[in-house]
Amino acid sequence: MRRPLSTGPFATTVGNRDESTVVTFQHVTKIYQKKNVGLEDVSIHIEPGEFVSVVGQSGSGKTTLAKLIIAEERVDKGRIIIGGWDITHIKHHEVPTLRRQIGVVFQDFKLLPKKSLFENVAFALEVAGQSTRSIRTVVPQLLKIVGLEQKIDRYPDQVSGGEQQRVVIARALAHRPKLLVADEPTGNLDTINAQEIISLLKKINEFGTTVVLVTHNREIVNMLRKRVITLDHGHVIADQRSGKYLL
Amino acid sequence: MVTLGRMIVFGVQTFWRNIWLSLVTVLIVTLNLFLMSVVLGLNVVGQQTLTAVKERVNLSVYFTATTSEDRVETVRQELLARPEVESVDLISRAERLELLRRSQGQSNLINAAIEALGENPLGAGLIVTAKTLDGYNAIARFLQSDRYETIIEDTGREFETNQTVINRLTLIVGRIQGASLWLTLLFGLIAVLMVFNAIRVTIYAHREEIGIMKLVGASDAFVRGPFVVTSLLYGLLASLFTTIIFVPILTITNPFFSQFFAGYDVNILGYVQQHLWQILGLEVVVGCGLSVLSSLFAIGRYLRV
Ligand SMILES: Nc1ncnc2c1ncn2[C@@H]1O[C@H](COP(=O)(O)OP(=O)(O)OP(=O)(O)O)[C@@H](O)[C@H]1O
Ligand SMILES: [Mg+2]
Repeated sequence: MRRPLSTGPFATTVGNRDESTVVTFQHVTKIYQKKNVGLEDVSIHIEPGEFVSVVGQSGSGKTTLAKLIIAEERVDKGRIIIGGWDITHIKHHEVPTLRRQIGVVFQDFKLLPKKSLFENVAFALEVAGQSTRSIRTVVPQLLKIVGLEQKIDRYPDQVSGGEQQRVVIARALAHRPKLLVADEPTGNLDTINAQEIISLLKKINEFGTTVVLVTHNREIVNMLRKRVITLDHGHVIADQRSGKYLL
Repeated sequence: MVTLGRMIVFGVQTFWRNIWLSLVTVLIVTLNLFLMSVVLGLNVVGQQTLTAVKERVNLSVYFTATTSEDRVETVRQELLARPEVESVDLISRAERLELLRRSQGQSNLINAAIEALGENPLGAGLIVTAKTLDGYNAIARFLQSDRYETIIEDTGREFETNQTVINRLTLIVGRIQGASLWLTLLFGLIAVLMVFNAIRVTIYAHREEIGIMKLVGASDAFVRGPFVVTSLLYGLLASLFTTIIFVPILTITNPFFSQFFAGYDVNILGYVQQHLWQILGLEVVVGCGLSVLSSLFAIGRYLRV
């Protein structure tokens, strides 16, 4: 069912399937305090260029999956490999390096309230020590991609929710990530703004970035006609190539 | 280098863009620096007063009129040889008479009495200063020994009253020093806790931003750096304000202090003017050190994202 891909953007070794995938979960279990099951024995392989929707009821473990990818949480059992890098036991000081290679979009935007839109996008580059000159050219380009070149000096509370989420996407793209993880990016948006964000993600995917989209939205999933992973109580109960919203 | 520059810029930005929070924090740090300075200042005043009072304490010995000058000089040398004695001043018979005359003013009674006697009825005196207050007991005991009984004028009683005064003074001095140590420690602790808490509140106000910074790939140091800069600004401004507040207050209160300590060698304004740079330096070190340490400590828990 899965064809081996050795030309992926993260690929390091030809022939080893795990290292040619962008995201590999091997029998991953995450148990929170008080025996709350986050994920249980989950195995997933996501290949370069894929657009994967992760769906499931509330509490089924979708956010847990996203957090494990960016090492915001650690696994209790199993292995996680991101772009050939085994991050199962990643050290605290290595986490920033990982996060600079993954774009992340959150439901609640997570913009820095006291920084302008420009500064918010620039921040992702500044933490990596990029030169001020390249930041000055790259950031306006990124904001232009998401259609916000006019509002570059505004602060997050001076633009709409949809615009804030587009800034977040611009920030997520700053490092030209091979992988973009979006956890309910449309959860706080109305239908029109949601559609815009999804088409933006599709465009990003068409340019080669692997997208993992966590969503509740049935219409979006059915419209995308891409791979759908369905979670339930921490287990993968379905993984369809061109899927529909099951539940 | 680029990173350091960015941390400084971000630190100053954090200060300006949260100006009210910053001002409140600076105010709290200022108040506590002020409190600490007042307590320390009182300590200095107290020490100066005690030194001044101690210098005033001495023990006088008066000889009978028939004691020869040589004999007096011998006693003086014996006293000087004792380890607890700081100095011994001689008052000759003539000087004593002069002092007595002066103290009686225009009253002719004394003059008349002396003229009737035809000679100076007063013996010479020695004024003994001890190195420490405890020393007076030993000196008094030494002078009470039998071999001086015939040459020293009814000293017995005088030594005793002296001794109780000195004992009481020693006790008071000890208590004041003990109390001021505890007070200083107590107020110091209160001040440290209040500053720490104020900084903790500002960090708490930024906890979500800290989390976001980490999620976007900032290292711990890159998150900490700007907050260190902001805390340095709090400390610098607070120490500056404290010093600025202190000078007029001292100028206004100085006449009162001068009056209170009239005749004693206590001069607060002079002390502050003399040590202005040291005081400012101490304020800066304490203010900045406290704020920076507090912020480094308070930020730790929010970096675990
Ligand atoms: N920090 C935590 N401590 C304890 N339990 C947690 C924690 N985070 C999540 N859980 C639990 O783990 C399970 C999975 O949570 P998760 O956030 O992954 O669900 P989700 O699929 O994202 O839900 P939603 O659609 O509501 O966002 C839930 O039962 C939840 O209660
Ligand atoms: Mg969730």
